Amino acid sequence: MTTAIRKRLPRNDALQKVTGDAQYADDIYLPGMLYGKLLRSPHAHARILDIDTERALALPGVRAVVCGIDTSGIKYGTVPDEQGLAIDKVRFIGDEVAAVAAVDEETAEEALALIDVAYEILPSVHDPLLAMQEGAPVIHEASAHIYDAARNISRRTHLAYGNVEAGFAQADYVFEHTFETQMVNHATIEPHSAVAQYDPGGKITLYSSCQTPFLIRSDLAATLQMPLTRVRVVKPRVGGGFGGKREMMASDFSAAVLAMKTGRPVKVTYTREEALATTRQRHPTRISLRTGVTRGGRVVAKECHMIMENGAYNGRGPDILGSCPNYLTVLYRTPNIHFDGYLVYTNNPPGSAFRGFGNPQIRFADDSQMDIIAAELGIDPVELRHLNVREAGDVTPNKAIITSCGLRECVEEVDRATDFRNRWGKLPFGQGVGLACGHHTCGFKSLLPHDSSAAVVKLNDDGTANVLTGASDVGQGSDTALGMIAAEELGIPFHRIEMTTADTEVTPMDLGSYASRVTFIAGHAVRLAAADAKSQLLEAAADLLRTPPQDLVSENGVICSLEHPERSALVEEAIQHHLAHGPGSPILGRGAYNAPTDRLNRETGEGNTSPAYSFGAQVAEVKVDPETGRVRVIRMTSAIDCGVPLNPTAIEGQVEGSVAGGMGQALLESFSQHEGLILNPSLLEYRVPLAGEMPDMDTIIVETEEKEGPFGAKGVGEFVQIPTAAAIANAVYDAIGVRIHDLPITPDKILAALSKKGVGT
Amino acid sequence: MSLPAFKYLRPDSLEEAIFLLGSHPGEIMIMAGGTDLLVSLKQKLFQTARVLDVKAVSELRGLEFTETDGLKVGAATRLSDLAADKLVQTRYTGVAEAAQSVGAAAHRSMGTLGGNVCLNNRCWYFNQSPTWRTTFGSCYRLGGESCLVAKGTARCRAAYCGDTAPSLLVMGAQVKIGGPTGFRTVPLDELYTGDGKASIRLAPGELVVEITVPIPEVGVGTAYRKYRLRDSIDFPLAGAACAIGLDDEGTCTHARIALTAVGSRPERCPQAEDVLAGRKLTAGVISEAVEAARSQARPLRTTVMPPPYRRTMVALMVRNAIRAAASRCESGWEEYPS
Repeated sequence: MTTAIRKRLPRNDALQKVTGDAQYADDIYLPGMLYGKLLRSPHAHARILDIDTERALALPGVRAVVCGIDTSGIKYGTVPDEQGLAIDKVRFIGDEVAAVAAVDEETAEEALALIDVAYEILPSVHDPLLAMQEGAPVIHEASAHIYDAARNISRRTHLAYGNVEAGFAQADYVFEHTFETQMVNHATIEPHSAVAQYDPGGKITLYSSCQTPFLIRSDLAATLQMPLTRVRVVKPRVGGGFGGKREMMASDFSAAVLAMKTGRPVKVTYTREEALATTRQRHPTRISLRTGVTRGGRVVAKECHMIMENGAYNGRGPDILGSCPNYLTVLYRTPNIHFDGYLVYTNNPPGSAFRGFGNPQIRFADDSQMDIIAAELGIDPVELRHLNVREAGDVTPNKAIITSCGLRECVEEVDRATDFRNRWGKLPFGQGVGLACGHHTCGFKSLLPHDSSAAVVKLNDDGTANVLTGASDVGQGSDTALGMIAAEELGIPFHRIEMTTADTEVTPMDLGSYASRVTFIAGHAVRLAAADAKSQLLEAAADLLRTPPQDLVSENGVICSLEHPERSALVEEAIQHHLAHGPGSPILGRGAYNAPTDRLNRETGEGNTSPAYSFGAQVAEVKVDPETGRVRVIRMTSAIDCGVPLNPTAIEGQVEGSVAGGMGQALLESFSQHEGLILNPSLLEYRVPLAGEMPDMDTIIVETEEKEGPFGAKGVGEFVQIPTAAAIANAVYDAIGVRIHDLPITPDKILAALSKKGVGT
Repeated sequence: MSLPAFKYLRPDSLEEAIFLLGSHPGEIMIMAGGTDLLVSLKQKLFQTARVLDVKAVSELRGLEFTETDGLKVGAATRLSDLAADKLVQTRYTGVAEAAQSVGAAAHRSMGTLGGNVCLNNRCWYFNQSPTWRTTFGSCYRLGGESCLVAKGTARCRAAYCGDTAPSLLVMGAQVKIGGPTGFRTVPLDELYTGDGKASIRLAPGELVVEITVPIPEVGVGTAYRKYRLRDSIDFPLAGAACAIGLDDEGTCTHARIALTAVGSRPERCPQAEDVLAGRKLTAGVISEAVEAARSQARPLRTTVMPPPYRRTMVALMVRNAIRAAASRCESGWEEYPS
């Protein structure tokens, strides 16, 4: 019996969310608060010659106008190339040029139109292949950070493992294909929002819809040139992040700067249009993949050329490109790999982190190609996976250590659940099944030399506990997972745990919600903090029950002696005893965890950058209407290895969200662009799948025990979305014999491909 | 984006509504469900000093059927009520299908038939925020020299994207219009100007009061077919309505076809109708009609699916609508190969 883990517990924020009581950043109203709006560049590439704010300032109700020149101009980012507000140049349509604070939103909007900006329009470039050519417009000036500024190449990652030449020499067959993936937006239900408050003592407090309060504090402190003590970032409830809220946004920076200038609180909430068109995107990619296989179906060598379109700024782009080789080495046993990737600036909206961090793009290419190989070799896709899957105990060519891995079982389970092998290639025209696999990390040590988290657990005299951690629940449910870990370790019911997350002034540091790290890394920190509190609790109980602490167990709020089962006390009795007889302090537990991993070596791409890896397999079942070309996903079956399942309901939620996201990229989501201008910045025209589009979804949990994980758990935030596009593309091929190499798989592409094949209307 | 300030008027009676409209000609906009107007006002597509909410006008709500006059639907009748009505489903199947296919459930339970019939024409340039629109300068509809979607055209090519109009056109629907000088009734077709910029032909102070649909001719089957990318929500990328009558021999005695989303107005396809009239609906004959309808379609470029593909979908929707309507004919129908 466990107290909390493995139980299907409802989320601890469920009631607040379903009743609408949950407070998001935009729900915050502070006395005297002003409303901020950003003036954005209408040009894809231009030099700012002059900004005249006089007319805007003269508008009644306007309290401040701030331009880049009024700020430090310090560049920020992993590889810094972006300013909070642009000073010399704008690099994409939507780049932030000035910020206005006014008494209401309407006045602020009106004031934007009164700011006169003189631009010198520069030639722009919107295609990475053109941007890489000699003579293309140069978007960023040369610096030590940039690989080749003249050709707009921000970063090149060029690595090889094993002996690629010898590997291809062993191959009986070599397959070569090119795949393309599109720009995709996170489309979080809650757009970015920030409220800043400046106290005259010189401290800024920022309530920000974000995934990484501690990292945003660093960026904000650096760009405001203030010590970390004077910048406080508070994360309220967040309505989705998916990677789109893990960097400081112009909304954060501008709210802070305007609050400092006016001395009044300032709120900046993005419109849907701003969130879709001017924040961050999943990088569009072009991936050429050459794979050598033996007659028997073993992958012996792989060569990957990747062009990743960076857009106007780096965001997390360099780290994403740097992770891509991992995505080829970890999932399938591939001894010899050559990877050559380019991260290329264009005058399009910036790309950055997005659920999977480059992995979905690689996986679409690689698992589409696996399907092609299976068909060509006459080996069924399940068997081809079995011949190549990663196994526990493996060390990958770039030194990732695979401690636990249920991939083989996941493939077996999806095969069994969908009767895949008996249906693949045998269904009537228009119906198909497709298989793909995926994996992802449980943390990623790259950005910083540590991958860490800390927590504090405070016990109250009524037997409840407060957990304080910087880990950020952004809707994924980490407050629930971490609360369950604390409850389990303390042996008190889950509903007695109150989570405080996250406030950089109050909660211990955590790097944030990304890299599927929270359950794993913050989970450890919380567990250790709870264990520390529990040892003090048991000391107190031991004194109360006159038995050694080693003899005591705490379960469901009761502390009981193993030796003398009649001796027991309620947790609150032990806490009260501690207060009455101890040094006077309440019980306070501390815990911290720094993943025992290697920082990514950028030169070699080597290192075990994640403490564990999660794995999964997915089967898509589709129907393709040969008259319209429309693809309907009927059922999506996911078998997943995320270690010990802490809360199966929460895990299923993550799986279903991943399927929706992956399906959106596979079939629907795309931006229509004209020279950097996004023509469909609305949720009506940028089509994410809605409830009516969703298939039946089955989740099969394949349990492994991850020795390094908290209670044996691994992350589940990202890896289920990674195979989805390939699974759907493979099912489409099975249904109609047409292979779509570029996402999304739209009806017009299908009809064109069918008609080329001589099938169809 | 916030709603601009306006005076909100909510009359209880038709008389009061007409009085208020007449008191501020040209300075008042009519709202029923608000599903289209409120979004447009937020986007500052129109400026208006007043909004007249007709939801509380009881004369504008509800539907009535008599064997003499046919179906009368108040302009402010909710689309969900229309779609759920058993009589409409049986006698005016195409209309029920069209009402059921509008937007998402929330739009149908707020949106009204009058609102959908009078839906403002749309295009990817016009239906954007003001900030966005200023990036490109003014299109023809906003006072510029030419259309920015169909470059170089000195007229507004925005498309009518309602679902209900074509289904009503094929039924010979009429609209009752009220205004300061009384009531008048015109064929629905005449409500549309074909000019994207001012697509609805109503004089200042007038409003659509009622849509009347005659008793369907005996044995006629009707259908509406819509193509969109998401069944949950989406305007049509192509839509076709059809009404077909067949005699006992299977000869087509009545043929009406209308399109939506591929022109500046919902429109009938007389050439396609002529192809069908007096002939047996073989696969060959249907294909001929489909071709005639396809060649009439003028899909404006949108942000998804290129025009050639959408023309293909027009053809498919017309074909499907003809087949569905024919199969609903009282006399029964089976497609013969040509």
